Amino acid sequence: MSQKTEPAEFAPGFLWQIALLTLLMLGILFFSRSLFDSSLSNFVPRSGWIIFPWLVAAGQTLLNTVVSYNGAAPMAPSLLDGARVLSALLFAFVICPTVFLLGWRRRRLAKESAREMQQLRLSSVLYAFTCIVSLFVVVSIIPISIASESGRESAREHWPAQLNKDRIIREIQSLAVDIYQYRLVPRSLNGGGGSYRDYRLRDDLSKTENATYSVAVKGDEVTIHAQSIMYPTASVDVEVDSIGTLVLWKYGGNFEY
Amino acid sequence: MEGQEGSRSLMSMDWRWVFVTYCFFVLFVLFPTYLADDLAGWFRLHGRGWSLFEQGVGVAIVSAYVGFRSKRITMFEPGIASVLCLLTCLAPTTSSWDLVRSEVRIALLFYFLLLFILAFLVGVGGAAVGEWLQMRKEKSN
Repeated sequence: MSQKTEPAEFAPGFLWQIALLTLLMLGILFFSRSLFDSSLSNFVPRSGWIIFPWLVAAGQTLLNTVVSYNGAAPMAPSLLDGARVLSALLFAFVICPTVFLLGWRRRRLAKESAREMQQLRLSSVLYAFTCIVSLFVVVSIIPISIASESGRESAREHWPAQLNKDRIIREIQSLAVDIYQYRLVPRSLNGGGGSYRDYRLRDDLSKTENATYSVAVKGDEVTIHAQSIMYPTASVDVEVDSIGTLVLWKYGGNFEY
Repeated sequence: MEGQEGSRSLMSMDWRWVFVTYCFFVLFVLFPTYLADDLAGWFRLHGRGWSLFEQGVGVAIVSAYVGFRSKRITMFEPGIASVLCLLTCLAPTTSSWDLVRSEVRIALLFYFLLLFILAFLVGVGGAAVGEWLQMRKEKSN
């Protein structure tokens, strides 16, 4: 094996330049999660994504779904999440491909000397780095497309049923208010006078465009049964207790999941 | 004489290449692994150990490049850098070390030792391939 003792393997300043770049990358690796941490992560599991910003939007959608059950209005992404998305877009889809393509063009046009070719320079490292990130973004689109398409398919399958279920739950809540009002109102005003006895479902409440409803009075409880019109096998059963609270929810058919 | 020179080069370490190789590992192995973090979840559905495999291949390729690119014989440098890289990966897990029971720690230490040896061997092996490629290129020239 020949002895290789030629000087200047590295270009001037290369070592400290690559040291700074490495420190920057280590900073991103270790601190990016805490840097971009926000209220979203209290509800929705968050990962270290930075180059697929649409996942931040997906996380926000999940969060809005969770808070909507409490009756809260949907929230816009926070400033931090906005910064996260913007930096990811700039980094992965603008800066890296641009630096890579410009570097590629420069290499095609410039005729570098043999000495320059032998030296390791930061521009070569950056060229390779941006090449890897750009290639990664391009190649990863395939599994992401497959995964997102299967997710969309699943959502298409479950979404109308979920929508119908949500509407029925909302109507049952209105129904429960009407039932409890009956209990509170005195008999002289056509109420139950402290009892659910003789309660009859009003015609306008017994059938809607979403479901048909029936009630059964059992002492201090009223059982509501809702049969979906859109999904004939799907149903919701729930009880209104003595203080008007809806308890013992049961879902059947398409509403089970 | 040439053999003596070669063996001397093998033993003397070029710490600049250790540092540069470590930087290459961070840039070309750890960072892409970080980017692929949750994409790895997709791969995990189709086979476990994907991340370790990905990092092993990455370390081998970078080591081969260093072996090929360096003018001297650099085989142990990528090995040492590979061990340093593994230490960097393990650094964030040290905070949860207190939670590990003492009997499990011994098993884990043995596992880590194997992991370090494997990392060193992958680095050295990759660099050896790079040196071999460099020799072939020099002969063909």
